[in-house]
Amino acid sequence: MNFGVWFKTYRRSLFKLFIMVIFVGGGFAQFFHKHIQTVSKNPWSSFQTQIAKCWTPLSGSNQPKVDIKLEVNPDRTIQVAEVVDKARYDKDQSFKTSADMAIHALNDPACHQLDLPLDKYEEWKEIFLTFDPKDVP
Amino acid sequence: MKHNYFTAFCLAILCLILPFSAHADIHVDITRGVVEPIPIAIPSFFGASGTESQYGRNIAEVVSNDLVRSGLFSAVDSKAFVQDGDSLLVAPKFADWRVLNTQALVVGKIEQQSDGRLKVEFRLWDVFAEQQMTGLAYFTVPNNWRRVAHIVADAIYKRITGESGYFDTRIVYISESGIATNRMKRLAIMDQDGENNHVLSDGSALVLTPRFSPTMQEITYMAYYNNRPRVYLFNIDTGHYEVLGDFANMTFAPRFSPDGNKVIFSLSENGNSNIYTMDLHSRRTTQITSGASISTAPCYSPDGQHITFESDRGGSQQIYTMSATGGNVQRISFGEGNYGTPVWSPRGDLIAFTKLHGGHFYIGVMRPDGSGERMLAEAYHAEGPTWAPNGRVLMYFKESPPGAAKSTRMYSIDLTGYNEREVPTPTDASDPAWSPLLP
Repeated sequence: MNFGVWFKTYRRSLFKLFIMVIFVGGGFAQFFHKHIQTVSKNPWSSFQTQIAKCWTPLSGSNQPKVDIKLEVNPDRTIQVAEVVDKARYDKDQSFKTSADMAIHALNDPACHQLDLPLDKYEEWKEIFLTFDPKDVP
Repeated sequence: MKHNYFTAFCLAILCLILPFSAHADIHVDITRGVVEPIPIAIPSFFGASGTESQYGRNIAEVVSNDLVRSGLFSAVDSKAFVQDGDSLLVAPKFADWRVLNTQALVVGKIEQQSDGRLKVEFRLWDVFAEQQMTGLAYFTVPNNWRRVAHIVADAIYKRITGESGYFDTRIVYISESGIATNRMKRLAIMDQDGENNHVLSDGSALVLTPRFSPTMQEITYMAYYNNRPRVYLFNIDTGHYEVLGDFANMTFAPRFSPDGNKVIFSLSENGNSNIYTMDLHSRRTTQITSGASISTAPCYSPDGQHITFESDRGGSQQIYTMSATGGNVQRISFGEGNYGTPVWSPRGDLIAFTKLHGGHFYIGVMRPDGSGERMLAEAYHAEGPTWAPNGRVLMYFKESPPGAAKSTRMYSIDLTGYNEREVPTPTDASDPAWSPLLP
């Protein structure tokens, strides 16, 4: 069987295989993208440390994690800090307490000006922070 | 068919590209923080008259002591305060308080009403955000000021930590006095901070293992009146006491069910002991365990569906759980040594216990399935853990080794194993039992 005949016979299978490879590749791409993002957090490690020093989570309790959306001014001060899940904030007392503690951290004078690279404003003008006490003793 | 292939092809390409196109947002996880007490400033509550000012000073002091003793707060030094009670009522100068590293500020006011009652009001401020977090007012008779102070402390604790407070509670315990060979053990009660101490029994009989009713009206305990060891019920309000049931043998280790309708206890028979319950309305007794072993120190789970207890049925003293009717018995302690006096946390997530290993006693906690065992305190002799109603703090007693300075004192400790503090009592003290929040 020459290649032309072989291709004609298996072209549908080949196309299906091609589509599958792209789908699986997409999945892998997402997986690696996530990890690449984690690695890319390194430029923000000093920022991470700064916020951690302003945050006083309650030790020994199972506080829920809270997502906060930050809008940051070019001078690295916080313009807006808001709880992402507002509906839960209104009805879950435990979540409300965690969220209040996170916002309290962002109001700490030590976190007034954020430790962010000045030349990358376009990257950090909007930041999503997750306060997750999983490593708190 | 060609159209379907084209659609599939486009979807696949999209799938490949999408993750990269959504790269605009920065996500940062904060998983560690600063675990240290929150600095809180509690200036004296403002009072216009001398009497009101005195109440204002007293209440602020009790609130501050409650919060600091919890280990979750530190009091900003009053000598550094930048505003007094009067000017604070107009408007706190937040910038000045921030300089003192104050994170929370309590501003209060006392007013005596025409009927003699006190109006106690306070506001809790978030100094960083310059926002009021909560504000409440209470009316009370003047000699109840201390209790109102505990209620204010509970409100502040709950607003900041999200957990219920435990300051408006009492402790019943055994007041001990006299030499070791002739020790007098009397039933006593006090506020959780050691104030308002009252002795409830005259010392004519040895009293042990008092436990609060969840309804707060009664205490159950074991006493040797006329040298007959029995479980008793004692009404705190009336002072009336009665023996629980009419059993030929010794009854001991009583504890109320979570709804307060039953008492669970041990009954000794032929060198063994088993667990029974008594319905306090019908006075009907139900046997929960049976067998030729010692099963004792029973304690219900907060939902009343399970019981934890200690038993030597496996050859050594260990902790078990079972259903409230006695089925599905499971051993949960498997570490080295002997385990006893299990007490289920009001949250339901942990069981506190006493452990004896290598000649030392330990107070520890584990999950109800026996996992996550960790020790919180160690002593020559430590025993009798009892939970604060919020399940965050434990109290127990420690006895020092025999000698000239032998003493038995009660201590509280945070669930994290930090902040161990002696609970002040006028005499030696043991067997504490923490009440629920006062109604």
